Amino acid sequence: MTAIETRVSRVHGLIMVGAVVRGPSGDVEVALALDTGSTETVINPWVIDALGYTVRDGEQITRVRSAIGDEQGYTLRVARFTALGFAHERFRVHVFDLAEGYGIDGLVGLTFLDRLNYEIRSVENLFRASPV
Amino acid sequence: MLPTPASVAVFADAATAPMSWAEICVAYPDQWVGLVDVDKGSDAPYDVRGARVVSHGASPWEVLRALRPFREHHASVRHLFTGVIRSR
Repeated sequence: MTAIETRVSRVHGLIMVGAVVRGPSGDVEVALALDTGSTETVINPWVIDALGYTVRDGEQITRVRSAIGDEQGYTLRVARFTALGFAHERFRVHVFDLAEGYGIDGLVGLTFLDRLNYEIRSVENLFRASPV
Repeated sequence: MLPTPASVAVFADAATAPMSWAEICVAYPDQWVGLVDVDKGSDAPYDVRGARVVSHGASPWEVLRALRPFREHHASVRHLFTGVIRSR
């Protein structure tokens, strides 16, 4: 398969990626930071709320160790997750509050990226990938 | 985990006039904005040439909830933050 190229944007140093997440209420466009240092793909709870999911749809309670201590989140499978030209059905995300003042809806982490062979062309603001 | 109550302004007459992203950031600094009729420069989330603002406030929960009725009638709906963005 030919590699897919997607335009990304640098905002305040972060590589920002547009994604579309589907839930019972429909699709919501979100702004996620591309983070190869995050093992999980993280979605903030306000997006989960807008999608029509509740914590009762979650699969598993999880804990994340951060600089300010252990914080609780949960995993949930969204109906569809589309980013960087690739879509996955029933995709598992980690629902975790990254703080409202951070200005992002979550992180594209390795649970998504590990399904791709990819390169980030920072100077050109391009993400180039093909599926594994 | 319940959201912290926060005020959100919603424009009853559907939306403001179209504004550039730079104008939106000046008019609604350091807050979340709910946008419709987004004129996208690309698929990159902050590559917005212009949009109409339908809601704004400190709470993304409330801004997104205020956007709900607009999703049915507007194909291009987005919520963004006008302040400094960070991930940790």
